[in-house]
Amino acid sequence: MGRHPASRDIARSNILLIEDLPSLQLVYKSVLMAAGHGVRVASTATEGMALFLESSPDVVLLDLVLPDRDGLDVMHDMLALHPDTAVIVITANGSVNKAVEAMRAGAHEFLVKPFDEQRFLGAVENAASDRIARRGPSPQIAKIAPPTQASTSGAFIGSSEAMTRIHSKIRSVARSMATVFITGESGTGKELCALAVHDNSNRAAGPFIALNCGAIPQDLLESEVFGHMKGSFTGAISDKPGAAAAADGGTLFLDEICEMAPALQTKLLRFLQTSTVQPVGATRPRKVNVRIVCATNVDPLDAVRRGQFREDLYYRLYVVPIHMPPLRERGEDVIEIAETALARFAEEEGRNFDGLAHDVRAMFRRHPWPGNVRQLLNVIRNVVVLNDGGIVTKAMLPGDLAQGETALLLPNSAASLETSLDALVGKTMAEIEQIVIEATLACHGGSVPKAARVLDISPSTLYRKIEGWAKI
Amino acid sequence: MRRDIDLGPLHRLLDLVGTAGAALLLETLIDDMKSTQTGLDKAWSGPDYTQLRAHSHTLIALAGTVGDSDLQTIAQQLNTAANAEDKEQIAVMRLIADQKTADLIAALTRLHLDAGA
Repeated sequence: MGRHPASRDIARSNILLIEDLPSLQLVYKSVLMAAGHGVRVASTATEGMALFLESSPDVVLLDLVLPDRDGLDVMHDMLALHPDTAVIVITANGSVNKAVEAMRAGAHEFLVKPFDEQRFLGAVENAASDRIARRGPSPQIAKIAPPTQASTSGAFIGSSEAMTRIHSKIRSVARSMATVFITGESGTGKELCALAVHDNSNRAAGPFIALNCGAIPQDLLESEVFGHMKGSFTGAISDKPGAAAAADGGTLFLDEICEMAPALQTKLLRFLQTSTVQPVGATRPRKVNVRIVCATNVDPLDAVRRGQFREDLYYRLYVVPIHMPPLRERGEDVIEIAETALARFAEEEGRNFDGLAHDVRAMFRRHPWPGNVRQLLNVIRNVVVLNDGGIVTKAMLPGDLAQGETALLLPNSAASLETSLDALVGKTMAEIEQIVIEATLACHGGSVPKAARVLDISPSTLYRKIEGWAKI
Repeated sequence: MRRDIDLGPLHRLLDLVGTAGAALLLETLIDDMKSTQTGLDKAWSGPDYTQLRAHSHTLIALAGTVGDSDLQTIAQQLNTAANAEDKEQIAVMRLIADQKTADLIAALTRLHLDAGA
């Protein structure tokens, strides 16, 4: 068994191994030393803490079951003393929940026994590179990363209690490698949340790659995520690195993760375990250093129960959950967002608006906003484009909204469909299709995957149609 | 009847540690297996569920590391039963685990002897 190929770059990392079983100590130590790392070994929590204080290791490999103390408590103490230490917890099958708890408490990674050499070295080497990145970034890079409050995007404006909690969570989780799982209705700003995690992390100078798993045809998704080699299939006219490789050193955001095909879920799990990607048609895997942030607008646990999402992948990804609240639960944020958007859009369009009338504010507070921030921004954009300026009154709002109905905010409003089929007579099949699709989307808060399910077509087909209308 | 155990992963580890290290690794593995077997016996006499959980957890790790997937599966089932404090299931799984552990210790001992220790 040779030296691990990826170990050359970060050889001689200073590693502390805390494992009570002598044979496993010997195995781990031998593999680490063969890969060029320096290892110190402890058999108990007490001995481990003493070595930790003495040697300030880059990486700690910590068995969660120790004879004298719970491994999680040991990790808490270590991170309190040296928050930048990368702690990898090791546990056996059956205690995955405990490993998830450890990740939430700040562990860098968890490894499930039994020992797997490739996974083991991959985790250690990722942790070591991340530790170097944490120690290394210049103050300039640290300054570039804006605080989450600095964002001017609609979803991140607002001082409601719900958003304050989210800002705080983003700040605490951003510096860890822990996977972030964002949930929330469509239009609540899940991608902006992912971007805020990236911007507040030590990877802010690296790439942020976003991929919508529901928008890409399933047969192309593997190539989009992992890349392909020229000639590996019809149409592969050149090498393509794929999103995972493109995000090397940064963050890979997988939106609508629950829409991913089962076969690709298996490959994603393998990628998460080994940190290697193998493009379609490539003969060798390539190591990458990527932080994963994913999002969905469905209940991921429900997707697991329905058999649509792998349970092991769920546990691997659902480490730090962040739930983006719907706009209707964000109190005065709706006014703050509307006024900020009004000022911004007015500047873009060269108009001069003086704010929102009182009755408009009251209406905005009452409105359920099924399309969330996205819908509110559309309303404001509509007002700015169709009016010259002044105070925004009810009369300036799109008709559906002013009448207190659910705003569709789409051309050829589908509301009229409810009254009679007469509205469709005289229209082309393409127009009718567009009206029905838009109405279905509106009924599902703008969620393409949900609308696609109801219409019994693939989300990618739906995205293509929507894009097609936008070009007309 | 002794079962065939595919110890491929163990052989890769033995190659890694070299001839001198191989004898030490085998000795240590045999000692750990025996301690775990004794620990499970003792925990069962209580029964002490905490110890049953801890020793079955160790058995999963040891069996998996050397590549004994049969024993690893049984140890996982024993660990699940210990977590659920299911006495009946523990009784059955412990007996099977005990036999398979004995088989593995015998296989490791043969390897140790073959290594000329």
